[in-house]
Amino acid sequence: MTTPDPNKTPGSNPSNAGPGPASWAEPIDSDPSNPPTGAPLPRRDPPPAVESLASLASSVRSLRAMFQIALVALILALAVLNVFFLLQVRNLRIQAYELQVTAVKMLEVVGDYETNSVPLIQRLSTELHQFAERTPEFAPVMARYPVVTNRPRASTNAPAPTAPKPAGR
Amino acid sequence: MIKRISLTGLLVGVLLLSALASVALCYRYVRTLSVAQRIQIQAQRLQAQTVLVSRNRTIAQAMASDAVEYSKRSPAMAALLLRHGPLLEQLGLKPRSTSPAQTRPNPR
Repeated sequence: MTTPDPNKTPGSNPSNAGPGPASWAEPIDSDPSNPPTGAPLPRRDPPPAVESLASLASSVRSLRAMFQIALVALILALAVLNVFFLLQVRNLRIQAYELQVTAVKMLEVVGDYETNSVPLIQRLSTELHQFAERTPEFAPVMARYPVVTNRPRASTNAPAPTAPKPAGR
Repeated sequence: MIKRISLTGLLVGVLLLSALASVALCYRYVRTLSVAQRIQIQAQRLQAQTVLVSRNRTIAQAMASDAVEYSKRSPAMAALLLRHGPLLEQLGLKPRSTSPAQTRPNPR
């Protein structure tokens, strides 16, 4: 004979329970985990805890689907935004390039004028004015034209400075 | 379950990449815009200078045209204008010869 294990819970194995109180050795009818052998299983409704677990799983699935839909919507919105930015950057670069080409041409025109034309015009103007001083017949013709000098002429009818436009609309 | 989690993770990754691309494109857009604004300011300044050049050219052309017209009557003016041949050519004018006698009279 083996000595009963003191760690074993009473009633876990009634056949090997050994001596003890009568209630430990008898099967408990009210316990659902210990049905009588050979008897059909009784049909019972699931307990409320199982129902809430199923409901929770359904909620999680629904939330996950909604989260994925929201992610897809955000990705689509960002894709549209990226395409917009890309097109804007492309158009802006093209416009800036065209503007730069125009600016370079204007710079060449202005540089050529200041380098080549201005000294010749100054010389012609000076000589014509000197000629007009010697020839009174030609003086009224040259009186219409100012003497070209290197210094900028003080303009009496300069346009009034315009007020800066407000930044907002 | 693993499939769904991986799909969600994939979507989150794609979303993060899209957000990063948006930030990068926005930065590029702002930089390009500032460069374009600088070029536009420079072009406006050059355009004002070009208008001034054009106006000065018109004035010089009118002055030279009057001088060429006067040179038909004055050989001294014709001689003066001959020294400014390149400028007159630039302005689209041609100086007359010094001697008015060289010009053939109209037979009619």
